Amino acid sequence: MKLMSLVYSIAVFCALQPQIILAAEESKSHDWRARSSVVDRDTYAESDTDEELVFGREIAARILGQYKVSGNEKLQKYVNLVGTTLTRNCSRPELDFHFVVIESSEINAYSTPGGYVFVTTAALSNMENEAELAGVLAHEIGHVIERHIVKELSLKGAEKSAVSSFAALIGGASKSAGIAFSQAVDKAVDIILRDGLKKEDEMQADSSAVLLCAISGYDPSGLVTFLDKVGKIKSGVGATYPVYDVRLATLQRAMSDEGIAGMKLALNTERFTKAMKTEAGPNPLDIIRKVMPGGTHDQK
Amino acid sequence: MMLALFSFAATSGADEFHYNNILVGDRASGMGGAYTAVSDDSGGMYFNPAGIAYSTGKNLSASVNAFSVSNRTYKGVIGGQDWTRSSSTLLPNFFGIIQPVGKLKLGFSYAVPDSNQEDQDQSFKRSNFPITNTKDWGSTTHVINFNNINNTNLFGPSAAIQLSNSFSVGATLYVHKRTTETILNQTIQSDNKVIQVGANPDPLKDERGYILQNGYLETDEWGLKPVVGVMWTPVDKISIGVAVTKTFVLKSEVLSQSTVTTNDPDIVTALNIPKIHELIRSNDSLNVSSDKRKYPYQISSGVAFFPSSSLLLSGDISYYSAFEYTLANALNKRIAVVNGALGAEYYLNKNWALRGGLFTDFANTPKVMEGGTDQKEHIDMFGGSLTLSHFTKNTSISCGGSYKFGSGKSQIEGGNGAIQDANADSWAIFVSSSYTY
Repeated sequence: MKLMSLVYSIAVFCALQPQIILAAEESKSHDWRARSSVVDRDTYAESDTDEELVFGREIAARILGQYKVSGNEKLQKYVNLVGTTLTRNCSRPELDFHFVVIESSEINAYSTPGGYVFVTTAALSNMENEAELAGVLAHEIGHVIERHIVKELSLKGAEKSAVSSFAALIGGASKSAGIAFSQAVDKAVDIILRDGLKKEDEMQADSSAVLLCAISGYDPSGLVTFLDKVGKIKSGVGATYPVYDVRLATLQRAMSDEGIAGMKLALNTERFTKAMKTEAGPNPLDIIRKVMPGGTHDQK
Repeated sequence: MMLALFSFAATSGADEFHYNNILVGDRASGMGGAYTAVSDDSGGMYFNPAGIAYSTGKNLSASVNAFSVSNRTYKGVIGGQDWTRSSSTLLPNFFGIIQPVGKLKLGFSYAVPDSNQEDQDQSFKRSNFPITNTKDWGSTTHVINFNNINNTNLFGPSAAIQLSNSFSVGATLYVHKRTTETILNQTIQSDNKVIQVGANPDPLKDERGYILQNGYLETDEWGLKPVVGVMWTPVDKISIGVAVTKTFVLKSEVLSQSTVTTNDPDIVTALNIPKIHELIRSNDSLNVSSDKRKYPYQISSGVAFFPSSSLLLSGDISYYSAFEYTLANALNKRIAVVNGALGAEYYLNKNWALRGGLFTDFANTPKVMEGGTDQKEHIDMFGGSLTLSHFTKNTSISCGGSYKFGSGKSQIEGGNGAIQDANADSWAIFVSSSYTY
């Protein structure tokens, strides 16, 4: 009988839960359940960001060495405005993002640690509205926020391993440190331009991108329609992306989970079309100097 | 006067008399099993399935009890001799995987909460062995071979859902499979010709007396063990968990046999056993039955405190109800038991964590009282566990051990009112791993 009473009490407790919940705090995050093995692994110190900037700037310089910067200054400004709108809502306010249009027949976009984002002219010419541009830029911002390249190369300022740490790579005065730094940059460039990031990283960037777009007022379907288009075009697509069908399905599921699947927000088709028709400006190097103060190119 | 004739214990293993025989799970085993209010990884499917609602990502966990050893010593059993029974096993202890499906967390796990391979192989002398008031075999040699195998396996699905930010429910439906096999062989032989005291002629004149005993019990049972749990967060960093479970045996097959052979008619007369040819036997047929064991209701409640990402403290109290059942014509009585456990987890840094726990493992048998016979041993045990874990981004490997000990009373000689002091201890070294993706 005592046992039955206890079971009955538990049942009553369960039945009264909604009332108890209402009486309790409105929102209880369960982040406190996360243990150090997870929490601290994704925690970066301020010094890490400084090193990440130096590292990313060097990678950006390598990319700019391979591509010509679009001379269309108005277009550059426009892309920067869209990008900056997005970064105001991103989770790494310590970063100063720069957005650069590069001339290439490849439909692609790239980003480096520290906040350097590149989008190709071919990608822009396959877009139909500002929401699609925002989706692509947000995807690249996602890579930066999540430090995908940094994690892929196991780089972190706090790490004590002399070979893998930022500090050793960048701060080391020895010749070997310089070589290691250069090799790390080479690896990063290879990942960005040739090998691609992990599929999981791409999908994570997709998920964070649609959310960032929605928060910033852009229709989150922009990235979906653009990826769908690119998937159909096929040609010119690098190995950077996983199979598009799987990626789109995952993205749709993520949007559904976030409750933004059917959201109708700004597409800004007219403004985008107008920006794309702007004429080229005079000197691409000025733009590089502007977006990369103190960078390698600036010192020439 | 019949003394120490059937000097073997009931054919049930000592691990039936305790509930915390093996600590299950990766983190849980390190925390002494104080896991009802934590349970937020695959180990939670065993302790409190509501906890897996808070698991992150897809969690795969395998835990191995690399080596488990237990010893029990019964003091001064026959002629002052100590009986020692030892068990050592190497077994897979736990495997579980959790998969988020929409708002649900689904999982599947396999657990071995009990596994025992106990042996007693002893030979000893006894200076006198009185058979009746007028007969004494004198110096005798006793040989005992006892073997007890007892394995419980659980496997089945789990599901949990977070009904609100502060409340979740979950359930596991384990299939219960338990097999036991107990064999005891004992020979008693007089070292010299049997001496007759008194007027009656000695029936064993010019012979050495012998008794051969054989006991055998095998059980094979299938059942279901549902585990239902809730997890509540009254305030941040505090978690309260409650889980209820009970094993229901659906199908059971019991085989038993007991044989005694002796060349002394006085023993035959005293035991009233039939004589067949020149050998004297009793109960030599194999008995088959479908007797079903019963198991207690187990209600576990726990509180966990998460003061920081590097420290976790938890405590559990588990109540096991009283019950009784008859198996192979033997009545088995179990009393209600309350066990407690305390656990802690401390991260030295993001890559290393220490876990420790203290727990009780009280006997579910009634206390051994003067004046009774064939009473089950009653040994209350206390234990501790300690593990060290190493983490990478997605994986963790833990290694450590547990130790428990206790003392109590036993009445291991069948049909004899003598009570022995009994000591027990067991230790296990386990290696476990988990993977989150």
